[in-house]
Amino acid sequence: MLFRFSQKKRFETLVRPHLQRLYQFAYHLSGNQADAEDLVQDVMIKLFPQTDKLEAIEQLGPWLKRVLYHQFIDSSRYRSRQPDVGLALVHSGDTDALDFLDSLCSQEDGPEAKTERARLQAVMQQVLLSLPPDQRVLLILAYVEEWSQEDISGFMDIPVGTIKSRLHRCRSDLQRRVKKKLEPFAPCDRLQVRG
Amino acid sequence: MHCRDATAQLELYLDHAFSGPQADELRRHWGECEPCRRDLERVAQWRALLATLPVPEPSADFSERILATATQQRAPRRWSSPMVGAAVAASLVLGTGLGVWLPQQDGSPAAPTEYQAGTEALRTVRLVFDARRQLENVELTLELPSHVELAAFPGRQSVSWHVDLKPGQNVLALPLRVLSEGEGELIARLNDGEKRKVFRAMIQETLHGGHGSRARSS
Repeated sequence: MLFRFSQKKRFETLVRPHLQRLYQFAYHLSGNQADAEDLVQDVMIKLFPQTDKLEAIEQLGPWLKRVLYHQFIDSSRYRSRQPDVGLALVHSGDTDALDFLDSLCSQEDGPEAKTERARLQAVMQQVLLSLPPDQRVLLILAYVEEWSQEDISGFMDIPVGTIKSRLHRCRSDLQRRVKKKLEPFAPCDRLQVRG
Repeated sequence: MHCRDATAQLELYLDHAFSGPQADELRRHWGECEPCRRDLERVAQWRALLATLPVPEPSADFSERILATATQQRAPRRWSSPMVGAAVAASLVLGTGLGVWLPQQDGSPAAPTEYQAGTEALRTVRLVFDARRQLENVELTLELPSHVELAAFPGRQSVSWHVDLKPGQNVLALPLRVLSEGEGELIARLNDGEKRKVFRAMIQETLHGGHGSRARSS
């Protein structure tokens, strides 16, 4: 009984400080609160028997995120729900894709700016969730979690150079998709006024 | 500095990859070039929006529930399992009014909790395995029939975790919640990475509190 108490306490001490951040990461991956909580729970259930191993890990936070990411990938519901979308060819340096942000850049930080920011973020979240998991996690780590490219390289087991080029493509793809989603009408739907 | 170079280095600048003269040169260019400064503002705004994507708070008891669920799988009973590769000696015992020992939140030993038939529709199923030698880090997977669920893992029909197995008899007590009348197989799979063993037991529940079980292994 003493051993079991000790393991329980050790495990809780190790992982409790990371639960909130893990949940946030899981939310960005999954897009909803219930799935995010389930993901974290699944990881914790898997890791409790390995408490001894956890104590030997130097940077537990990133390690836990890696385990959670793999748990997310293994979860069949995400494989079936998300269609594979190839990376689109985009021009490098295409910052005109962000021209929809001009109004936000010029606004004071008042209620209108906050409303606009919320609207944009809702669209960004929606588009992020439509991307394949490997693209999504790359963007989340780089721009939401703000990891360095070296850390992302270690996380995804991909060379730094590859991370750079993929990040560039994914970033441009996300910007293009967000801009497209913000457009009220497709070109063919626009009314033509004839005199 | 050419605009093309400033644009190419914009993301790295925002990654704080530059310092000193390199960063100064970029800032000088953006101070002098309106279109490039606009690009910098757009990308900075974009990244700020991404970095602050809202996340709803988890449920109120999130941390405590997660930790309790994760740690309860280490029930205060010794585990036994069929020795992988050896003959299996296993039995399934199903009964009402059986005591179930569950750890308290503070780790102190708990008094057995009696579950009575016909009230909360809870049954305790005991898996008893004989192990000839010690095994470590064996993966145990339980697959439940659709008419029952583990009380500690509602909504899940399959649960996996790793266990250390001690020589001799090990009893795994599973509080099951009966969801409906029915009959189905409970499957316990053991995997030590090299060999696998499967234990099957039929679990039957009726509306009048009757129940039964039959066990076999493969």
